[in-house]
Amino acid sequence: MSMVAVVEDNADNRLLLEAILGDQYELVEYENGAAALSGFERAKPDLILLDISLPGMDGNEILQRIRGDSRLRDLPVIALTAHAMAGDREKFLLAGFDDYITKPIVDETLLFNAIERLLKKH
Amino acid sequence: MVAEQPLVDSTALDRLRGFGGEKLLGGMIELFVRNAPTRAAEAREALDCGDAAALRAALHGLKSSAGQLGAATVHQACVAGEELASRGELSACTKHVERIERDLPVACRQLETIRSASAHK
Repeated sequence: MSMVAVVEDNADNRLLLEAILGDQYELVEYENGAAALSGFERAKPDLILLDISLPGMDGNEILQRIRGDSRLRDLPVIALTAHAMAGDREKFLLAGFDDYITKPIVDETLLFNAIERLLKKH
Repeated sequence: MVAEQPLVDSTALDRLRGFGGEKLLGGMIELFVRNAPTRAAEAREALDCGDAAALRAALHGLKSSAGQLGAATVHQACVAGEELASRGELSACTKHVERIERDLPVACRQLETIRSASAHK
């Protein structure tokens, strides 16, 4: 079973992701960037779902730390964001994310497809 | 007595039931009812203090939760308020924060009723 790390400060979003993904993947959850980066050192996940708007270190900064770490840099990272502005997808891909999922999550298939595509690719 | 207007979109609730049944829906409602009023209070405090970044953060945090649970008017007010706060247009945010303060307690009450009904199914 692939390990998927969820970095998300909202407890209700974590609960939702557990319900959607919990049967298919081993989920490891982090509420903030510092805890996540520390956790990745102990147990490297196969894929990361990373909220953009986190307190303290935001998702973009966490991504840069991941991409700057030789052990973690190739990990697939999907941005989770409630921004949903025009041009966001391109912006996040340019920043180095592998994909982009908007909140609220309305289609679990989109999420599964994004995860499976990236797990197969990596 | 005038019937209270529904502020929660049943489509969003059905979607959550599809994701994880009544257990997920109940859990999501419980967390929302517990946490959303704090976010709204943080938004009010930030607005009164003129802190655009804090206002944006509070509205952003409330936005996805309200959207996921179908609290549509609260969600829309968060979207509009966050956009204005990100541009530093604080005075224009007032009506959106007031909308949240007016609608959130009603949405929470309606969600609690739905949760209570689903718990007895």
